[in-house]
Amino acid sequence: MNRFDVALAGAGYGALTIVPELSLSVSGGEVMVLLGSNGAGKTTSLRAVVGTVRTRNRSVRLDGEDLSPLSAWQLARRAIAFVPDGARCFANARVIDNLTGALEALKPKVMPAERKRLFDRVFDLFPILHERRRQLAGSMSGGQRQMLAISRALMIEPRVMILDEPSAGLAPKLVEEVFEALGRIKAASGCAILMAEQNVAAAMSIADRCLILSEGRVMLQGDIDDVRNDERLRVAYLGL
Amino acid sequence: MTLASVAQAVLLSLTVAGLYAAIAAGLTLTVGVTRIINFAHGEFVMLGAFLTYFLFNQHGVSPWIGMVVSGVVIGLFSALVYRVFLARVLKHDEHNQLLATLGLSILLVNIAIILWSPDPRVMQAPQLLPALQLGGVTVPGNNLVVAGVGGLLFLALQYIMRHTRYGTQMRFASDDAELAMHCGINVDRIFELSFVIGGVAAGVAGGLVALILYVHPVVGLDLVIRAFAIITLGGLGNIPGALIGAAILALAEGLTSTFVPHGGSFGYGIAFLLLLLVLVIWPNGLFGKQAHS
Ligand SMILES: Nc1ncnc2c1ncn2[C@@H]1O[C@H](COP(=O)(O)OP(=O)(O)O)[C@@H](O)[C@H]1O
Ligand SMILES: [Mg+2]
Repeated sequence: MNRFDVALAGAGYGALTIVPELSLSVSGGEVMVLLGSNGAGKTTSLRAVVGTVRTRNRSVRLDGEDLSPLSAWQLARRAIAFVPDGARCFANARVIDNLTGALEALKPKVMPAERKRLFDRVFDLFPILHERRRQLAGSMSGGQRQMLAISRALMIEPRVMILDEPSAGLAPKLVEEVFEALGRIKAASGCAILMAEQNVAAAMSIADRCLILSEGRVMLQGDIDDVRNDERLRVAYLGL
Repeated sequence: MTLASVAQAVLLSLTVAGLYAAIAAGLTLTVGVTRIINFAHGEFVMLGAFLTYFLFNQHGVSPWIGMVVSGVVIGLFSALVYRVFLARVLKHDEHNQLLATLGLSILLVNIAIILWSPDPRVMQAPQLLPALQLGGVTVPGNNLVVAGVGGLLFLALQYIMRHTRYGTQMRFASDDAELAMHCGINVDRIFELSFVIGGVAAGVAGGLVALILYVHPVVGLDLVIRAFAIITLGGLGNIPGALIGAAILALAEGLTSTFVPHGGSFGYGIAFLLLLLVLVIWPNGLFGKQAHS
């Protein structure tokens, strides 16, 4: 369940094609990571998946259901959560209002018990957010904002979570904390996770499969263990 | 300059502040959420004023009802403007929206001149409320209506923004429209909603204009410039700021025209002067907190 299938062709900007072709599948409880250096086309690919970057052809399916015609806001309503890069938050709203607003945008009449369950879950994952709940989101550190961004996505009980470089700009200690939480989400929520990363070590800690991009082209797609065990691949594509 | 005359000028100014606040609060909401600099907001007010005026003068409809009808009609009209006009302009190039709303403003003024002539009219409505007597000071009933309705409009906008689900969505869209979209919010509809709310406020405010000012095709131009001065004072998107900005501007104008010789003709200039002062000294408005981004 929660099998997410994507096929893209001709993703880019204006007349410029960045990612000529890409297809991937992620199942519930699985993490697929898009690896590649700066400018490889990770962000372009993820945005093409959610439909905010133009494509020539695009097919998005969840458990076989064709979601391709839906726009980005409708995908969120179908429990496909996108967490853009840069740990973005509603800066002028308090932490608690970021979470409540995201919840109520989808479920205006959510029951108190349900609400409590969802809040407990994110506060359990990220206790610091509970501490800071009355603080303006914009006044928090990058790491805390990334935690809030992930929590906001969790409020819609995603079946698919798409994250763009959740480790970017975070201190190593916080990267560890965020990825530990992502690992717990993967284990407990049954949602399919598709994520772009440059931090190979962090990504490897939770990924099941990977797709390596270089200059917009898919160099390799496969099990993370295949890459981990193949020194030639590691050196060629990951610089490890 | 006696105490009574100062008190009189202050009280009258504060009632005018109700009108300014209603216009500016709607404008600051729309601009704050959509970032569309809507020059035609003044013409929405002007159309509401004509509507209330004609309803009363030709059909005997009470201005109380007239301003409600104006609010509804102008609200619908602004939905139409957003949908068939602005949404399309925004889609192609958001920089064109400035020209688009300016063009719309000029178009509406000219249509009004053709239809109704440029001559100023007076509604000559009866006083809707009894006058307020405070010591030696009298505030006419219709000025009380303007202050009261303006204040209510302001409170309603504030309530919608702070305490409703749609208010939260408008604030989210204002903070980061793309992120709001990824939260499942139909940002285009939310933009339209904020535009319509601004339109309703403008329509009702038009009814207030008909009560205390001359009704003529360029009345909105005067008012929208003041509204821009006010929202600059109060900080973009800051609705309480708009109330305080309205009071400051109305007092500055009222006191100048009462106590400075020939001061009546400065009204407009005061707005510009305030605008310039604020822009130079407090570029984020009096209460503008530095926006986090
Ligand atoms: N808005 C844009 N317009 C034109 N080119 C862009 C735009 N955004 C990114 N690019 C280009 O697309 C390529 C891939 O960028 P991106 O997808 O952001 O890579 P990554 O996320 O892997 O760092 C880069 O060469 C970049 O310059
Ligand atoms: Mg990127």
